Amino acid sequence: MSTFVQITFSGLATGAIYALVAVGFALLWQTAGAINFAHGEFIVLPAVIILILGEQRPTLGVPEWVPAVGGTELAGPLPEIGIIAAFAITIPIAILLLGYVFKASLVDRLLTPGGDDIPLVIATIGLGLVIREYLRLEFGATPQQFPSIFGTEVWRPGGVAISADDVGILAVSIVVILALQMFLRRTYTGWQMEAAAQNPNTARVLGIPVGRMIFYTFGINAVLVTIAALLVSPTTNARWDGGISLGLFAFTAAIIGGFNQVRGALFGGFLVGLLQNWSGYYLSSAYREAIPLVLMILVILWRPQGLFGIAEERTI
Amino acid sequence: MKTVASTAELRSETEAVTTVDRGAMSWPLAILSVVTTALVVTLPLGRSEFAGIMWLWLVALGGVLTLNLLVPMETWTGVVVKWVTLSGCLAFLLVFPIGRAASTLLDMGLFAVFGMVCVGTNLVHGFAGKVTLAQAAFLGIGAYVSVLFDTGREIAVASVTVTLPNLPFLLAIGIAGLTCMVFSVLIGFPALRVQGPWLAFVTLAFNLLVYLVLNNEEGLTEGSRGIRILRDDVTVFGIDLASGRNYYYFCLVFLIAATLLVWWIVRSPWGRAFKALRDNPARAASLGVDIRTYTLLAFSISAGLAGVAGALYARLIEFVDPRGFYIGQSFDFFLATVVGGLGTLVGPFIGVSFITILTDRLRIAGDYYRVWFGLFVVVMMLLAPKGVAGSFNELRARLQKRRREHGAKET
Amino acid sequence: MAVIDDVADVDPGHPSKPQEVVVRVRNITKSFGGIRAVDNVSFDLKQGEILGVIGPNGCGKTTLFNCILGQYRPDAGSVELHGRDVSRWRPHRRAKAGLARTFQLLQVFQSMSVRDNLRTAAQEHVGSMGGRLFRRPDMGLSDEIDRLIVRFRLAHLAEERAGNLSYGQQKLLDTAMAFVSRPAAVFLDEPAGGVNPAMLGDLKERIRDLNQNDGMTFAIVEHNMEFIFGLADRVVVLEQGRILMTGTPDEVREDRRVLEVYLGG
Repeated sequence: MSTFVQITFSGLATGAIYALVAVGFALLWQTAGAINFAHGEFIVLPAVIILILGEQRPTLGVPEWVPAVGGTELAGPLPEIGIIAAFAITIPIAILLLGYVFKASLVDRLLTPGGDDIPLVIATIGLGLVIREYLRLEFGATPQQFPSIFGTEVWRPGGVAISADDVGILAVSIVVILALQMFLRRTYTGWQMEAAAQNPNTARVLGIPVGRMIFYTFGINAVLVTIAALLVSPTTNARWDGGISLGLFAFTAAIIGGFNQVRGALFGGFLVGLLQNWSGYYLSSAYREAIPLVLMILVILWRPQGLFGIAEERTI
Repeated sequence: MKTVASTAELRSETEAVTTVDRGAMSWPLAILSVVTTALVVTLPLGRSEFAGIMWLWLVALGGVLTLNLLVPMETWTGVVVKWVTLSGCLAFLLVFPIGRAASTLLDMGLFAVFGMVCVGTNLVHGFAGKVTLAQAAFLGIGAYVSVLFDTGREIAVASVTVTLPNLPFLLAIGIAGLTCMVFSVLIGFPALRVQGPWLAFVTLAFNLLVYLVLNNEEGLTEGSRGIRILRDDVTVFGIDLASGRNYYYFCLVFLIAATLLVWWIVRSPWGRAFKALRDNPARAASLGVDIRTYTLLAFSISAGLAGVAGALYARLIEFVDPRGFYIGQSFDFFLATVVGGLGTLVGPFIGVSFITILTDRLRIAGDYYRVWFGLFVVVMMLLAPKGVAGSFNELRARLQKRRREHGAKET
Repeated sequence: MAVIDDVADVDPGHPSKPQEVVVRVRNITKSFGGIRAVDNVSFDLKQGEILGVIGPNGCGKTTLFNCILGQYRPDAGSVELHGRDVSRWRPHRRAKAGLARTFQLLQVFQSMSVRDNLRTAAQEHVGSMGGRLFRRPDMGLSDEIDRLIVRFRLAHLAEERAGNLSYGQQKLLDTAMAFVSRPAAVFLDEPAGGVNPAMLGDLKERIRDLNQNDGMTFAIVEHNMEFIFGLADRVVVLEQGRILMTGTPDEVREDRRVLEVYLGG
């Protein structure tokens, strides 16, 4: 029983991260019609930037002129502060690169109303390739250790082993998710964003500046992936090819839960995390990733809009 | 391919016709595209004998396309030019293995094998308009299936042990292709029930699933250890395939057959239905075109081709292991085909040059080629989304139109 | 340009026009997130008639067509073709059963020739999937297609790439494509949209020609009043998703409610 609790808790923590990235992916898809196949790389890139600005510079072969934040010694006191400070600086960098630059240079040029969205899909696949290979060449093919801001303690209440890292991840994720939900439901801008996401054309008719809302969506996505990078990299390490599987599970979670509802993507994320952990322990460790994938295929077969999504209009 | 449709959206397009006007091209973009193209095209030079050959091939194809552009196809000159260039290309393919090193012959075998995969991808994406990302999975299934049936192995799956019969090579190739077609229908069916990008996601998931099985079912596939399979004992119709050159010609036969098959399909009513559902699925459906069935057909044919290619591939490199069939490989195939050009028969032959160079490059560490190629894809989507051959086609159509208008003005 | 003789064309009681119902539309309702686009619309489309569907912008005309032809799934209601319930059928199946349509947004296949466009439109109604692969490329339809090309005055453009045609010519092709499969009924969505006045007369002639000489049944959504009143036998007026009235063009023209709706009275 205690193992079950352990695994469930851990699964929820993993799921929380998937929820964050799934929401970002789903928001971009729903609001802007942008399906971003480089989403996984968008998570790895901030992780590397955080490492560069933080404590891990020596092993990365980073040029001297790139400033380090919060001390330069690996053995210095409270190395976590360095990472947190690096994270804080990475957020605006991410918003600029993954939000504004991405939108202006690719999305706006390739997504035209009534036009084809395949060129953007292809361009993001290419973009993913560029980021992946660049990271591999510049920073090496070995996965980089990423320190956890929550430390490495493991507590054992009632015989159940729970790591501080998992607790931290869950806590931070829940705070972020609640903040996001409150923003979307309680603030005027948030309400406008939801309306724009649900139905851009009706929103335009109602006078909502949809273009600006889309821009905010890109910004929010950038923040979400940076937070996810901070949370997930201690476990998976920062690796050049980590984006492939992170991205794949972001899509999987969004599709299973429902990519046209924020709560759908959230639910999907948690479900995927739980399924991975449960199947990893109870069925087979080698196939832990398989169950969510099979579920995604089944969902597409029976309910393409996702378990929580709203049915799309076109029936062809 | 937008998944959300609304009347308002449709209404806003009442007056718009044909292609989207992207406005004036920006200078930074233009410069970036020229630099990228130059790098992508010239970087391989001097790296290896094979890279040099591929560069020549690309230049030759570029020349062929330009010629086709300038000479109107309807005239007799056009027909002659077409046949001459076709024969020229065929001659090139037949002649260039002569006197080459073994490693180059291996790469040329890869050219032929991967060419089939690109031909299949072009059928699904260039003609039927769907993004497909499972090429590596079908390549892998084809490779392993043919290896398993070709050597009389004993396999164990879930505590069931079976000794497989040792089948002749050609039969094993056929089974490999058929197996892939069956799998493609199984995963294509859910993916194509509703309009949208679902095939892309389902094929990605399928690719990972296949990789997991290949990597973990050691009783079936020897897992990550891989299976060695030598070529010295293979003879087909009395011809010994052990030499790299003979095997290249063998693979080339399959590539040509695949191209002819796709050419024949595209010329038939099926081809029209494919173009219709690529250009305008809503209109096609309203005219009676069964989108789901046609797309499934295109997809399963491409899977079959990839399966056959996989069977050839296994014997070519004389080793199969799961790492060769990971998702990244599918991305490479798809991108290379897109760059080559959509909806044309020449496109895959351009795309496969990129693919083989990319694969070649992988063996040399610290090379920026893949980064440049990715950038090339992005720039291509911004400026010429139909790929090289597709853009030539469009250009030719526009020249045709101008020629016709010019002719009309003069009468 | 032909002079239109309204009175002779508009005569619902004419004995030579049979009154068999081709398409029966019952209680179609469709909402989009709280906005009711189509509200309990019912009507019959009779054999051999030209039915006009008019109404101010946003009254739900195109949505109604999309529900009848399968692009949208209505929240409620049914559609019958020759007595068969096709409400659950996907668009391509309805097309094969005899319900043809054009779209508001011009939709010919740009990359194919005019002749190939027509072949594509015709081929799915003849033979089987296998037959389409292994038999003759034109499926034995050459003569029929040639006749149609001549009829629509596109003969000099037959091999031309559809994308190279002028807008008006593409519109003619679009209409021809809907007709080539000899459907039970053709639904035209704003056929006059974007067509220059010189070609409008031509278009009207084609439609009237098909109606009178081939007995083709039409349902036409249109904004252009002059165009539709000169063609239709009966007119349905929609307002905010509901049927306001049905009648002959004359009756509709003189109805006060209709005038109010259009002039915002």
